[in-house]
Amino acid sequence: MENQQKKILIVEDDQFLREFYQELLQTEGYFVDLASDGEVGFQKLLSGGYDLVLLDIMLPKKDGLQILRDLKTQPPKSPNKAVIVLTNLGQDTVIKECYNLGAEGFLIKSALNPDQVLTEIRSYLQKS
Amino acid sequence: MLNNVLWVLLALSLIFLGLTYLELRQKTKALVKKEKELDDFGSAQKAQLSKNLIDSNEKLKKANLRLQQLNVLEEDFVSVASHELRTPMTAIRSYAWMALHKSDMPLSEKLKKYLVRVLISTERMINLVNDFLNVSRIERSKIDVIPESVDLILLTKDIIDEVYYSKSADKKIQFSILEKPIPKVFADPEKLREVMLNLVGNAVKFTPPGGSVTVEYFSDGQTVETTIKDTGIGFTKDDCGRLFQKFGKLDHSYVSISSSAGTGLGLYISRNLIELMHGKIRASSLGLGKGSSFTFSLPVASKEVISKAQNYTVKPKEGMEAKPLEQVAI
Repeated sequence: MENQQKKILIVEDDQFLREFYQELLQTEGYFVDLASDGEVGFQKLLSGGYDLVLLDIMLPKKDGLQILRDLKTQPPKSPNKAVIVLTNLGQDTVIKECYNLGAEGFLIKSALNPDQVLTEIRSYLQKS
Repeated sequence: MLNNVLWVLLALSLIFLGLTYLELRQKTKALVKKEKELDDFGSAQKAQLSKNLIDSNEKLKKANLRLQQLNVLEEDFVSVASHELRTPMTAIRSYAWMALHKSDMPLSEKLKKYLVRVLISTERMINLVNDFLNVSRIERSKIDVIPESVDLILLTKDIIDEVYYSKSADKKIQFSILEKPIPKVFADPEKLREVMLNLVGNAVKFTPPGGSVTVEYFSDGQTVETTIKDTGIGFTKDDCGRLFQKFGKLDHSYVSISSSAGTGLGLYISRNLIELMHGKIRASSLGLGKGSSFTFSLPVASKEVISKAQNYTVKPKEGMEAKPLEQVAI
């Protein structure tokens, strides 16, 4: 399985959603790592080496935008191929800022069905 | 003898005069005192009044500041509350989908039906939250309209592609665009997109499988009319007046349009957006089961109109930041 080599990090504070994305991606054969707050997420991103990172914006301890900002000044030990913002904050200003800070994509959780999430993730993995 | 009497009279008169004088002096004194008192009272009152005025002014300033803060807080509250609402709704939607599609045991037809209804209702709730946000932004003048020349036919094709791939492919609905040369319109592309998505989405939603949706145009040189016609469920004359109201309800009535599976805000939002862009929107139907058509007009992007672009531009209310519209799924 080619998917097994792909490493995905999910930074999501809502337990149900975190476990949902974990199950969805594991069933597809991806290797999944988890972080439930911004601080842990940032540390894992710093260690790096992920093929894809799904990053929430509203997080305890450190928000997603701050994580992206801090990554600009502190580059990860080994690079992460792509960071996708996965959030329910759909405001233009937030979206623009995420792209400016180096996010590769922006997905609105409530607008997508699980199969659409998978399609998006596959296409980002192919690109990266 | 007479002399004595005169002296007595004189003395009495003097005494009387003296007494009168004393009394008058006392009255005058009292009057002066009263006048002084009144004067003092007046200036005290004036001072009090002016202090009150200053106080009220201060209070007003504070209230105004508080109102401004509340405005920001309210927007923050609405945004954060809607985010917090969407998180559990996304979880419900995701798990219902998993139960339906990734279950480790076969589902009975009944269970499938129940799960599909959970999914549809959750999607409807998510759309409601987004529509609420949009209505609040429109009603509180927190949106802007930045018009430019828009090619309606290109936009229609985009919208139909989007709607077709998301919802209508399995409904086998026939789309047609009656193309003809029409001038470009002067409108805000983002807002116009929202209106078209709503109207085409509605047409698909309310048309049974195998039906058709047709888009046609008419221009008199001043405006372009776009009509979206379907072969769907249609509406009665009574409903016509309610269609563009919030939740399909008239102000004095709780009767809503029957069998609407939407949020009840889409057409209200569309009407507001079209009117902000100097257009008009109307609906007609030959009756229940006989299809419906929705027509909106927009000004042609003529040289004259473009030269007066500022008349067609809408800025958010002073002190407000323009917010984009939330995307509502079809």
